[in-house]
Amino acid sequence: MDLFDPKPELEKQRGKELPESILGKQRLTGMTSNQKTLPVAPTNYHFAPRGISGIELSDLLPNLSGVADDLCLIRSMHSEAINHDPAITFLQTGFQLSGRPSIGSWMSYGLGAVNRNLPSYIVLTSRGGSSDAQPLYSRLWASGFLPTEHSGVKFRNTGDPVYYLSNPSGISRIMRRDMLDDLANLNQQRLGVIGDPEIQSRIAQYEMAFRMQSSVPELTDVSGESEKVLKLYGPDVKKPGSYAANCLLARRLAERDVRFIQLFHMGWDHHFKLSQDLPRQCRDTDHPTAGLIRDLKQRGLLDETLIVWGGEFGRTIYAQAPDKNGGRDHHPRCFTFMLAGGGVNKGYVHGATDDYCYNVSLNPVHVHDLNATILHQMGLNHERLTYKYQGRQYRLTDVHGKVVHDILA
Amino acid sequence: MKQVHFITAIAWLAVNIAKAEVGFNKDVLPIFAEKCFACHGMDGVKRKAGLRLDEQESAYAERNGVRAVVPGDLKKSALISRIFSKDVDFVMPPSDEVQLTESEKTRLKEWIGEGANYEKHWAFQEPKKAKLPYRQDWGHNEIDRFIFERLAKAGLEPKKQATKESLIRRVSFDLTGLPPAVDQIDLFLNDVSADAYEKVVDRLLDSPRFGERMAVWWLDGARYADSHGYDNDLENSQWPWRDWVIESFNANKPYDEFTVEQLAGDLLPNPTQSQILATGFNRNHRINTEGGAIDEEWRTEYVIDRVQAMGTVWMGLTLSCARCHDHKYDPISQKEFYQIFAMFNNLDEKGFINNLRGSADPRIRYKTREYQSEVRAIAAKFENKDERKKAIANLDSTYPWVMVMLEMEKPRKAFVLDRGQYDAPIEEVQAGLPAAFSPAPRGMKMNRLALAHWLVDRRHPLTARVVVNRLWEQVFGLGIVESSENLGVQTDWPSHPELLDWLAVDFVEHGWNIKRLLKKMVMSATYRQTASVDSDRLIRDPKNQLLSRGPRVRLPAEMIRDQALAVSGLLVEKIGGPSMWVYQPAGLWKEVEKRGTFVQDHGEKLYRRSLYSRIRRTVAHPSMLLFDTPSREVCVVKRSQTNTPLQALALMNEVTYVEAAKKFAERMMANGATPDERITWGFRCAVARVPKPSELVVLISGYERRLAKFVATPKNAALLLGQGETKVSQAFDQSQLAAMTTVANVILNLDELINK
Repeated sequence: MDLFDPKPELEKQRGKELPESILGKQRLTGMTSNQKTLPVAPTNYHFAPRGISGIELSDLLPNLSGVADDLCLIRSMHSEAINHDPAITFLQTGFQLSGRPSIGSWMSYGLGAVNRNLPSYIVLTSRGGSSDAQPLYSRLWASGFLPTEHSGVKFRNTGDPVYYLSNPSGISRIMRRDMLDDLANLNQQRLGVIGDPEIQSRIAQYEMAFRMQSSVPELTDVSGESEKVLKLYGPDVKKPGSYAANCLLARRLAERDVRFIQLFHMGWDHHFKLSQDLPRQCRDTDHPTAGLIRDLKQRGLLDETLIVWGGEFGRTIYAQAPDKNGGRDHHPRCFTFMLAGGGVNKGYVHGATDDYCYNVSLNPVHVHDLNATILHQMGLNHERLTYKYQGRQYRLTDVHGKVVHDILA
Repeated sequence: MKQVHFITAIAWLAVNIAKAEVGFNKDVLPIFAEKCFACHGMDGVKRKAGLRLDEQESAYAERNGVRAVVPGDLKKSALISRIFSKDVDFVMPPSDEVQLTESEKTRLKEWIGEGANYEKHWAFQEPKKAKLPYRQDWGHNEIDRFIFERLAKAGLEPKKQATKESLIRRVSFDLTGLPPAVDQIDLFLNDVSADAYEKVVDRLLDSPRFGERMAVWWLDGARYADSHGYDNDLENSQWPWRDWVIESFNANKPYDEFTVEQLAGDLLPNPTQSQILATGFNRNHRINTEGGAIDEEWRTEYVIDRVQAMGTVWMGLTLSCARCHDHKYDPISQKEFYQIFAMFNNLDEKGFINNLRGSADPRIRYKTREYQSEVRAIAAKFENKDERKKAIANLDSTYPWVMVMLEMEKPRKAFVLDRGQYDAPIEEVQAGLPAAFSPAPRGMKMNRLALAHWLVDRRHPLTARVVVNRLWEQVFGLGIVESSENLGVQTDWPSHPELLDWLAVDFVEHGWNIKRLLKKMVMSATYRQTASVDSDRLIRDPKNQLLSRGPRVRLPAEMIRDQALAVSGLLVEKIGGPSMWVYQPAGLWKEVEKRGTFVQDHGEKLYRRSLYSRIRRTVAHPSMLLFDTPSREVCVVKRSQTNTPLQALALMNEVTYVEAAKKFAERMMANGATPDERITWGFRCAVARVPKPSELVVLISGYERRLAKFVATPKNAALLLGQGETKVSQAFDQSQLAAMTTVANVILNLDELINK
């Protein structure tokens, strides 16, 4: 309601109690279930139609407004969990409890790698200026019961982008090559004696490790990017580890055929201080996201790259701690996802919420449906992409999920 | 007499011919389970047309004049006309589902043609010792008779015995998780007595390192970690439970006692502290500490986690499938699931504890043996009662809290939960045991203790098979049942069904004796074969399931690190105690938020076995993760085995391995006078054998080339030797030591080194 889903009529209800008929019987988190009142808090931001398509977006998103005609909004997303851990686990793996493969791992398993010098699933993280950001967990990009080679590889913001990439001080690249030649020679001799083809594969992995020692720094070295391109992503792009820098990196990874690139930006949990924190998060992300879309487009890559932008759930229309410097509580019943490129409709809005932006009123899209659609656009049938574990065929979408054909071009 | 003999021969022949028929369990059930049971199985809700193919009665029954299966009559069996139909609206499975393959269709046809015999799933029948295979041409013990028979059937010969060097290395890892020291190798090589190998095996089984090695295996299933997981993921102090596991394996606690104490130690008559401590198994699950979490929702999750872990570890079944509906494949109804649930539901515990640090109730102070003497000392020191009380309270507070199971007097009510949701109770249930396995113990109150006794009843079809198979997997690389995590209907067909059953029964007959079982495995000729393989065997026995060669498996993460510490002389061999913070990449916690400030340990704490490295569930140690350790968030009993470039980077560059290389190099320098002697010693120390001349020449010339570089740039030698917190001796020429460090680094990266 503050970014993607305008409800101008709601202003009249400001401060009034959210009607029972809208609230329904669903559970609230332990944080607001004891709150005495649930007053409606319409947005404080102005919305306007953008571009030729006229998609309405909030003033908090000036740059995304500039690429509105490339966007596809799903205003009718809904999820099942109400707390961060289960909800983000659900979004990532299709199940609220940990242990299942993440969507990127499924993608790596289903599609394999094109670029043999880089992992097929790469994760980039950043945080906003919030003092109390929700944490991330390595399991969010873990492969669950799929072989661990399909785990997301998190690029780091400080030090080596990939763990243990650099040789120890005192060992130059030339010396490493020299040592690896000896290693390959000895492993080759061992292969001759033992005959186990795994040894051959080990030799190959050491060679790839050596190539990564140059391909990864080459990838993360953005000194060759023109000022014009850097400008697309906004001023933060020069700060390593920022969301903007990660967006640029994401483009460079997409160019190098990495299958699944996932950016996590922390700091959206605005129970309090919404009026300070939300604009800051938008400043962090609006410009770079729009920049990424523009950059991919000008390189002709947008059609073959699907961008998906969203979070594990939405926020309540009613205020949390309204008398203090309040905010909004978790709300899985409706929220918006933004898509672009990759064969989805342009300048298009799918689904709608009720007058209070509290329940989905038209064309609901469940997390399973979104995941099914993402797989579909990657050429994978979510019902056929299975893996047998503990005697059962598992899927990302469990036994659910319908491809949302309406949003596909 | 002659005639009797003849009849036996005929009967034997008949059995053999019968075996060539399509067997329900072996050939039909896997097809049904994978492609039919979703709609025609145990789950009453999803069942279509009222037909269940898992039950003979239902499959044979007539519905609207149609019978799915008519024994011996293909024409009348609707199953046949449906699966062979070309009509997309008529064909089974439905045309939008995964279809049967041609060979699957043929098998079903043959099965019905031959009379459509049903059998109970093999793993749900009580195991029986089959007669040992007749031929004794090869091997040392019963295992070899079964293995040899199967190899002969496949037209394969066993391999010759591995060299003594590779044997001692293999068995040292399997029984202690560490490589053999050079003097132990020498001892074995020089021992020409017939039982030289057995002496090695006995020494290893008696080593305190045995319990540590076995604990690593057990801790995965027990989802042991040093933090609570979820949002804040703060530390717990469950380590005394981990030490209980180590001590139990070292003391060779019989597996039935080991089971009863972990599942129900608190319910034993007058339980000891150790028996209560054992129940920490069921408190190792994660605890949600995220603000706003709903208490009852998470308490329910913990109870379900316990049922799931018990089911996976002891029964090899996925009980949690029955959380939301009757199990689709295995005979566990949703009601039965909640009857087991009722047994794990009776703790005075919370589901949500904001920012939980330390341990959650119920819990006990874990007191070591010294406690009593310290109390006596206090009693002697203080005469005043209050002072004494205060001093004892102070003393108590120095002992860690361990979360354990303590039953509430009045059991909490339990319900079948609709779709497994905590807030959707349907029907109240009483504690009870699933009906399909062995009978419930008579005259016992239905609680965890009854469950534990039921599991270790010799008639229980799963418990012994599951653990024997998983131990086999540890030793031979692949279980007799490959899907060692699941022995339910959907399991893989065992490579040697009679051997598995023979071992399971033998295990129980000999008092659930783990060391005895492991000894039988490693004493077998099967185990002692050389691991080298030719293309013929690779084609006919690609995964080495038939054991046509010795086992060759990549070492688990813990052993890889422990080995590096051992060969470098850094390893501190000390049992138990609180876990350690070892080296980790700088900034690891910062990147994922809310993880506080990392304070690494120093000194000997950096060089304890990996089992003692702290596990923080949401920020796994990167290099352990790379080598496939589970995050310990949920029960996992089978690790994947991958081979990736990131593993190579870790072994090349991680400070643990670079530091190990420099200390290993130092030992090499001390154990020889020339590069030749030094490298030969180091090579032996690492892989137990003497390098071949063609190998030695590679290492020596590499040493010399890099020595020249370090001599030219001594600064680089100092930089390299500065890695890690230990210092190197200045008595050695630093350029030579640095060049030797590069040799050590190459050795520590050898494929041979990271495989057993």
